[in-house]
Amino acid sequence: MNKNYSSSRREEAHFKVRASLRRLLLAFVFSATCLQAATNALVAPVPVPSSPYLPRIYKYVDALLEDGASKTNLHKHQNWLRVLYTLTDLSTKAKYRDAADSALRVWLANVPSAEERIERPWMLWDRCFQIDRAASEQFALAVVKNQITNHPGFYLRACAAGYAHATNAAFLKAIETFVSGFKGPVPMSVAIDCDGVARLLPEPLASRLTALAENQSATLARNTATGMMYVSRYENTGRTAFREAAHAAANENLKSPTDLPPLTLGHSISLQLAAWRSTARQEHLDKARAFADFALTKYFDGAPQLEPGVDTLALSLVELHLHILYITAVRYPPNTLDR
Amino acid sequence: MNRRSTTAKTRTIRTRSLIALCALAIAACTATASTSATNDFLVVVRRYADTMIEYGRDTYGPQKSGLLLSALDRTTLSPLKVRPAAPGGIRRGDRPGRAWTAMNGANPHLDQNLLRILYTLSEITGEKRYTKVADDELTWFFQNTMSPKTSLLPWGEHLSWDTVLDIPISGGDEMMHEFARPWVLWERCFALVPEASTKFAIGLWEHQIANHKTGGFDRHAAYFEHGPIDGKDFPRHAGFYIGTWCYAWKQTTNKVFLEAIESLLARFERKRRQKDGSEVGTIGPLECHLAAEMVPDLLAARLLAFAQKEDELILPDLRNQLDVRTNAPPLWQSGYSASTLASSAMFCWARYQQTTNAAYRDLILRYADRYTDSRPDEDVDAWPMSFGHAISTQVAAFKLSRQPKYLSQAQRLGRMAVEIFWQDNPLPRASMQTGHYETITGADSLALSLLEVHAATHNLPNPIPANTIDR
Repeated sequence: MNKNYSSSRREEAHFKVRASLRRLLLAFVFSATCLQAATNALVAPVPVPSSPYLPRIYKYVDALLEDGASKTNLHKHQNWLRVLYTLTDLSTKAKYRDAADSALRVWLANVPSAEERIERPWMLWDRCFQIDRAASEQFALAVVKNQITNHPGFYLRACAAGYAHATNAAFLKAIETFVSGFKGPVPMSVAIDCDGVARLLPEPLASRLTALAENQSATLARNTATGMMYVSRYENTGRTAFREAAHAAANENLKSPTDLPPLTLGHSISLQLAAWRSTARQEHLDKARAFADFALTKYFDGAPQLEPGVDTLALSLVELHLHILYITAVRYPPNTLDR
Repeated sequence: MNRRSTTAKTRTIRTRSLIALCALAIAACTATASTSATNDFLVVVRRYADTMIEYGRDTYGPQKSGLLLSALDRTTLSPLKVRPAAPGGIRRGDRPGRAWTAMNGANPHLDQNLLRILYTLSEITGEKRYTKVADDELTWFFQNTMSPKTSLLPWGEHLSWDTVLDIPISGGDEMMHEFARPWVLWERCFALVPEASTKFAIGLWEHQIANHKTGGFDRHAAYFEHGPIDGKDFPRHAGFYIGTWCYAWKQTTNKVFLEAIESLLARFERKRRQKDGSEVGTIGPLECHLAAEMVPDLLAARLLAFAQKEDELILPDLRNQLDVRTNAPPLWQSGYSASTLASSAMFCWARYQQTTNAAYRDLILRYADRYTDSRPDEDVDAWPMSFGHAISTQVAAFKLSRQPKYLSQAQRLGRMAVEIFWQDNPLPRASMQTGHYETITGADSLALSLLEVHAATHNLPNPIPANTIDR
C-alpha cells in the first residue's frame, strides 16, 4: 500500500512536472506567437543611436559625491544641482537628489552679504521652499533687506518666489519699488527674468513686468552666451525675431572649433540642440555631438573637480543624451542661467 | 524598390520641395501680414487646411494615397528627412514614423480633428473640396491599410502608414494596435466604406478582446496576427470599443456587436467594485450614453444606469481638482497620460451636452475662471492641444453663461496661440520648443478651437464639432 501510495505520489509528481512543463512550453509558444505577431515589421529596424554621454556623467557625479571636499561646495555650482535632480529623475536613485537637497540647505544657511557679487539668477527656489519653507522665506527676506540687487534677475526671482510660496506682500512691494527704477530698455538677461517672474505674480504687477520684458534692448553679439539668451526668449514667447537671432548664433557656432572652455562648450552644445529642435536640421545635432565628444575627452576623463563652467557643460551633456534617445518623460533644465 | 523609381521619386520630391519653398515664401508674406492681425481665426484655419491639402498629402512612394501626413518639415512643407526632436512629454514609440529614422507616417487617429475641420470648412465656406479630401482619406485608409488577418488598422497610439514605403509601421518596436482617442467619425466611415468599417468592428471584437466571456482584453493587440491577451484593460479603451460597436450595430444590426458591448459593460460593472467594497469610476459615462441611444431598450437602460453611476463616482474627483488643488492637473503642461486642467473641462463639456447636468455646467465655469489671464509657466514646452482645450473651455463657458468675459479670454488665448504656434508659417508647430509640424500634440484640436471662437464671435449658425475627443 505504501509502495502503491508512494508510486502513485511519484506518478502524480511526474504528472505535475510534465503538466507544468507542458504549460511552460505552451506559454512559451503562446508568448512567442504573440511576440512574433506583434513585432513582425515589414522593414528591418534602424539601429539605436549611441550616446556615451550620460554614463560618463553618472561616473563623474558618483566620484564627485564620494569626494568630501567637492560635496561641501556643491551649493556654489547651481547647474550641478540641477544635474543631480535630473539624474534622480532618470535613474530613480535618491542619492543624487539627497546630495542636491543637502547642498540647498547649506546654500540657504549662507545669505549673501550686501557686497557679494552675484553671477547668476537662482532657479531652484521651488525646491528650496519644498525642503525648507521657513529658511527659504528668511533667505528671500534677507535678500530684500540687504538690497542684494547687483544681479536684478537674482533679486527679482528671490522676491517672486517669496511671494509665490509665502504670499508675503513685502515681496510684491520690493518688486514694485525695484522695477520702478528701470527707465528705458532693459538688458536681455533682465528681460528673461522679468518675463519669468511675471508668471508668478498678480496683476497689475505681472503686466508691468511683461511690458518691461518687451522693452528689451537690442543685442548684436552673436556669441553662444547671447545665443542661449535668445533661445530662452524664443522658447518662452514664440517670437520669430528671437528665433532668427538664435538661429544666427547657432549657424555662426557651427563654424567654431570644438576646443573651447567648459562654459562656452556647454553653451555651444545647448545652442546647437535648440537649433536642432527648431529647424530639424541634422547638422545642428551632429555639431552638438562633436562638441560633446571633445568635452568627454578634455573635461570628463580625469578626477572630478568643481571647476567653473563644468556644471553647465555637464547639464548640456545630459540634455544631449535626452535628445539623442528622444527621452522626454524627464525634462532637462534649460541651460540659460549663465547671464 | 529599384534605383530608377527611387531616382524618379527623389526628383519628384525635389520638384515638390522647390514648389513648396516658393509657396512658403508667399505664405510667409501673407502669414506675417495676417498673423499680426490674428483676430481672423478662420483665415488661420483655412490656410492650415489649404496648405495640408496642397503640400501635406501623400504623393510619395509607389502609392499616392492622398493621406494627410501627420508630421512635416515646416520650412520646406515636405516630409521630414529626419526624426525631429520630440515635443516635451511625447514618447518615442508614439510618433508617426519608424523609430530612429525619418518620420513619414500618416495616422488618421492623430488627424481626426483636422478631418472634422475639413468637413466643417465645407459647411462654412460652401467649398466641397474640403469634404472630398477628408472622404478620400477615410476611404483609402480603410480600403488599403487594414490587416488581412486581424482587420485592425495601422493607426492610433503606436501605428501609422508610412507614406514613402507604403507599409504599416510602428513608432516603436512592436506592431501594436491601440486607440489613441475615441473615433468619432464612424457615421461617415459607415457611409463611405460600410464593409471595411464592419470588418474593423468585427476585428476589434475578435482580435482585441481576448476573452469574449469575461470581456478580458489588453489595450494593446497585435496588428499582423491574431494574438490578443487578457492584460492591461485600461477602462477608457472599453469606452472606445463600445463607441465603435454601437455604430456597427446601428448600421448592420449584427447581434455580435450587442454581445460585444454587453460583454465589456458586464466586465466593468463587476470591476467597478473594489476589494474593500468601495466603488470607482471606470469606462466613464460618455460612450455608454452614446451607445444607449442606438442599442435595444434593455441594454440601453443598463448603459444609461452605468453612465449615471459613473457620474456619481467621477464628479467628486473633478470638484476636488478645483477645491483642494493638491494633485490637480497643471494648467499648461501636457505629457503622456498627463493632461491639463482644461482637458477635464472638455470632458465636463461633453457630458453636459449629453445630460445638461448642472454639476458639469458649474465645473466648466470654474475651470474657465482658472485660465483667466493665464499663460504657460516659464520654460514649459506647451502643446497646441493645451491651448486648444483652454480656448474651448472659454467658449463653452461663454455658451453656458453668455458672459462676454469668456469670449474675450478665448480670443486672447487664440491670438496668443496663433502667434506662438503658427508664427510666420501656414502650419502650426508641434510645441513651444520645437519647430516642425506634428499632430500628436494636438495641432488639430487647437485649430478646431479657433473655429469655435470664430463661430462664437460671428454668431455663425454652423455647428462646430465639440473639441472633446482628446481623452
